[in-house]
Amino acid sequence: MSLGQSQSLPAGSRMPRNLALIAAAAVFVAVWASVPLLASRGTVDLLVFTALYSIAGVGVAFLLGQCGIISLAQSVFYGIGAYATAYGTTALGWHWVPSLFAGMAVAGTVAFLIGWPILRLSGHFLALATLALATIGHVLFLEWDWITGGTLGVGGIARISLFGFVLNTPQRFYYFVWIVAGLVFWLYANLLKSRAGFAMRAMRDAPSAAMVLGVDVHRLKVQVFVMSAVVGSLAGSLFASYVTFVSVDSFGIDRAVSFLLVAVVGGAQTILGSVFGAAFITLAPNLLSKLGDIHALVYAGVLVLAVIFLPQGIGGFLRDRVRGLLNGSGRAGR
Amino acid sequence: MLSVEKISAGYGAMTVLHDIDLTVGANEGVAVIGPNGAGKSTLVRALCGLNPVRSGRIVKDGIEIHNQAAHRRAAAGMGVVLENRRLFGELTVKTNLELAEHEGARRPKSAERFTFDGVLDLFPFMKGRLDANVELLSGGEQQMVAIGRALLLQPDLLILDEPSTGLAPKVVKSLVEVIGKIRSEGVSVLLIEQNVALATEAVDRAYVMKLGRVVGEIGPSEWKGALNDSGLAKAYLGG
Repeated sequence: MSLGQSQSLPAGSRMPRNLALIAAAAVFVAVWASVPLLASRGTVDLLVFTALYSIAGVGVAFLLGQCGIISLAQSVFYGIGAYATAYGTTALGWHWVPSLFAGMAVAGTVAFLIGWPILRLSGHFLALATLALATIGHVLFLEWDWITGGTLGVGGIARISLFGFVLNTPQRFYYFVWIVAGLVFWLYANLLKSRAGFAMRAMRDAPSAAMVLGVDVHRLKVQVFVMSAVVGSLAGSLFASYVTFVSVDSFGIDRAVSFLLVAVVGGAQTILGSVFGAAFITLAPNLLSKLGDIHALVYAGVLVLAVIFLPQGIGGFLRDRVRGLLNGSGRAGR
Repeated sequence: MLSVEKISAGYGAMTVLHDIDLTVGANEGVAVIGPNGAGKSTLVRALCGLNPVRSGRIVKDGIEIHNQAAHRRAAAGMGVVLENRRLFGELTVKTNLELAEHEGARRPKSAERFTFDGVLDLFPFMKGRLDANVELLSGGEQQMVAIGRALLLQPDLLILDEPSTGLAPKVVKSLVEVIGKIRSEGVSVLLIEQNVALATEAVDRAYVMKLGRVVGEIGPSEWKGALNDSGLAKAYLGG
């Protein structure tokens, strides 16, 4: 359709901004690529976890930001992915790729079967239903020890190898996991700009109007929930391949809360907010642990302050600043 | 076209609508008038599927639709403009329209009456405002976007809930014109209004609601002069 009259700026004012963006992107890539070469092994390890949590977290953030759904069940899907990779590569002797996709398929199916009924609930009831799912999931991970190894866990999980190149150091894994994270963000960003994304925003802004306009709100919510589960499983599989050992401790309620924190602290309205949220929940406890016994208290305090002073999350705060800058310079240029 | 048979509906323990009966014929324009609190908006919500019906039937084109979800009723040709317009504020005029156009494209070809460009011709101001966020439009313009959006669903029945609320008299006049054009395309109109002057000009006959019941029916012959009819005024004002 050629209906749109895109607001074309004069070429002169557009070029410098594009150049600035390209330059910024180049600097960003250079910094990103050089971090593993300069930082300690421990720091790179934390950055790997930042990527893992931002992948699982962006699914939760999208549910929260676009559909208004609070999900405390992401730990279940993260666990499904991790156990799929663990069971697939050890007991079944599969390659890591089919194991990863099997986990995503199982997680998506479970999300569909459970999401279909519970997504008819709303607000607190829905949040409680996802919390129940997380609790049940954790119990099943514990009880189904023929797959999960119960409290003992599963060790000897195959590492990821790409064309014979084994990702056996944090540095190597860092590059891989951040590229995967980038792809997931790109997918979500495209979804946001697609018709389904507009329908989601319509559903959020004016649900009754969306419904009478023919939008099947329930189906849309189930789709987003399934997608969130699939990326949660992807993150879980990558986690299992990275640490090569998984146990049920990694998939408890506290992990579900962490993923929700990624969304809340990072900001549910922006895709990249998940990166900031994930960085916060991985880096902050680590940095604060230097304070000794009081660190948990300080962490909790910082969390409360973050939620009070950054209601749109870190991502939303930065987006507003950047928008302000761009608008300011745009006006001056015209 | 639409036949509503003895429906009741409400919220929680409260029943708001009692045994509502009404019909809208093919290509007919019908108004529902009545004071605040008469249950008019609840009626709209029950008709379009946002509120469950407790008893009675809603039949459209011979098919019972009262148990269908709202999006299914939209797909069956029921277009609704809800009270207070309810646009998607963050989205542009174009996106608001395109969302509906996409859903409308699933309707049978024979039901297609309005194209995107056709809607722009109906509301020429939109041509220059396609990329504007709808929240930046005036109240009247927003109402037109809401109507245009509903038309792109390719409905054969358009339900308008209090479209004149908060609009300047001049805009209300143009609303009469717009409803006329919509009807000339063969779309039936059910107009829920407090503004009787607008309603008498735009449609053929009316039902009067009070306290959740239909208390009167005004046929085509009386309707045009209804505004000056003291008997109607008495019924309408509850005197």
